[in-house]
Amino acid sequence: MGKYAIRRLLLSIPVIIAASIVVFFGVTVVGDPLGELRITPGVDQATIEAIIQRRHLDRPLWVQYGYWVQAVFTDGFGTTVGGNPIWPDLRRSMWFTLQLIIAAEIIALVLGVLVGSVAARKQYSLFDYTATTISFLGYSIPVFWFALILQVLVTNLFAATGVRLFYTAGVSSVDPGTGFAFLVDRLQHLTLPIITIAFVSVAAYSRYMRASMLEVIGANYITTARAKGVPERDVMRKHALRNALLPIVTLVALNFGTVFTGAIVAEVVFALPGMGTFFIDALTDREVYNIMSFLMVTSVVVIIANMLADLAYGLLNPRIRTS
Amino acid sequence: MSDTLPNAPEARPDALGEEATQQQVHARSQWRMALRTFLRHRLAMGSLVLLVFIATVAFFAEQLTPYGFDEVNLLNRGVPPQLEDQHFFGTDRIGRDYFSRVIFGTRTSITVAIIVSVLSTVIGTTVGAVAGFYRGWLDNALMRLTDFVIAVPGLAILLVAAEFISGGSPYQVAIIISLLLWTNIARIVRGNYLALREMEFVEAARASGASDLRIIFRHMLPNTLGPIIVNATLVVALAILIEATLSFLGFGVQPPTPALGKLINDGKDAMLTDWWLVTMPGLTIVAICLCINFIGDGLRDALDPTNTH
Repeated sequence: MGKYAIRRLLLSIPVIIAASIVVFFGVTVVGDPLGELRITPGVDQATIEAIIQRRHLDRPLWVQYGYWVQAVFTDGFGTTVGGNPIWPDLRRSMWFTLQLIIAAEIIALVLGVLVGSVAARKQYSLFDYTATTISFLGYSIPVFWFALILQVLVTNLFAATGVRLFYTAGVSSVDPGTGFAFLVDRLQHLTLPIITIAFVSVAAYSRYMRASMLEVIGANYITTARAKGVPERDVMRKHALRNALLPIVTLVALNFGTVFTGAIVAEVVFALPGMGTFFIDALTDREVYNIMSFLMVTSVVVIIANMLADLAYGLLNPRIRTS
Repeated sequence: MSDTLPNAPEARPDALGEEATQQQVHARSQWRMALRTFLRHRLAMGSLVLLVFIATVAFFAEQLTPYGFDEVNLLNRGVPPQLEDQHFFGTDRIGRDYFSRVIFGTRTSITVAIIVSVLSTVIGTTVGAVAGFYRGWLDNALMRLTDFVIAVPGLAILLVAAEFISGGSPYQVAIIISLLLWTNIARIVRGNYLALREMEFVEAARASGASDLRIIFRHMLPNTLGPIIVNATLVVALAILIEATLSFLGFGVQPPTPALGKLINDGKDAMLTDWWLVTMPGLTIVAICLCINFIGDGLRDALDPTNTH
């Protein structure tokens, strides 16, 4: 297992290098770092000249790539065109979004696995049909619209009853308090965004879990387990569920893009200072180096998520390890 | 997605000569069986009827909507949905008829989605077919590329592309979305091709001197058409959602062309007082996508060869 993990780790290095090349050249080809500056009134030629000098923009692209890689490693992704350091902003938003995503993923997984396996065990029951219908809705409702509807519902509830269940914007109140009060305040702010992000994944996970569970339940070793007198509860929990969970592990890694998309949208709708907001701001201001940093960070996260999924798969499925 | 092989045997006549006529009769009945299963799928049929209705209204928007999409009437601002004056979805903050705007937006959405569906199916099928047929390093390279595109947060790439490359016309937006949505179909087609290439009719075709291209597209493609059709259908719903998200964030189809996501974005500031501004375009998206997903489900049942109705 250790050897497998190390090989997998080494294999991801060329992928990360490839990703950095794609990100750097992709973004420089489509976006001129100075584009925004050139059309800003009041910026004279000398300023632009100075920036070109400082950022080596007169050098060939691959030399610029070298400088960029250097900045990524030694200077925390370097600075924006205007000269502000990127890393403090990036780190803060990264950390924030990571919390959101992890919370949403855990909720989505627990719910998805639960709903999916129960639906499979009670195939064609009322519960199964309800779950199927809801998951169809999950595939059909735009995430941003779902977020807006949540906002409207909660705000109207507040207007009607005066009960402040959740907040619909920001991370915390002006005076969040301390200790337990602070925690409650934070939860009230982040519940709706987390529900939004989890929403789409629950639909996907429960569908896959149901299909996977149905397949496993039909397998011969389940019949064997039943035949030799294993209690039904153990058949389901120890024989069926564990095997049915295997494909879900891979799905979680593949699902990262969807979850991340959900996070971007949720942050925009609920006005949260995370990666999504960082990215949208960078795009509207055409801050080329911020865009690159964002894409690079997300690529690395994707690669790591995939690696973890592979490792977890190997850990759970001994058949992979030996081969 | 069904990974089993739909054994619609139209590809065989070329190879089998004598038996061809018999086979063809059988081939037709295979599709007819699928059609019959689909027609019996009540939810899918109902969805199809509703979807055709919505699409027809959208494509004849000029003739069918009571007002133009940018016809301003400052005396009629913020009117809630009502039958009077034919403001079925009310009016917006500067008095434009919201029903007309939603219908025109729907037309944009459906246009984009159909282009995406066609383009991504063509790209995905080609990639999957080549990878599955040739195997080896080509397969490896193409599948790593596919994995990469799947894992990368699509919206991020889309936003970069939309901001820097796209001029915001529906066609540009459609092309950009297509470049992300071909992966699923590529994997399905590859899987089927890996199995199909070992079958006797492929060997027979090769023995009779058919070129690779001919084998890939004339002989093998018809045998994997079922999953492709199902996927192309589901991609329409995905594309509508993605297009709406892009235009909601301000990076999609640009004004004056109306888009459903943009309508929701414009309406969200007034959503607490004028609820219909966010609700109506949103419900339209949900209705369309639900219809498409149900149709996809019905098609999946109908085209699944293990299903013997």
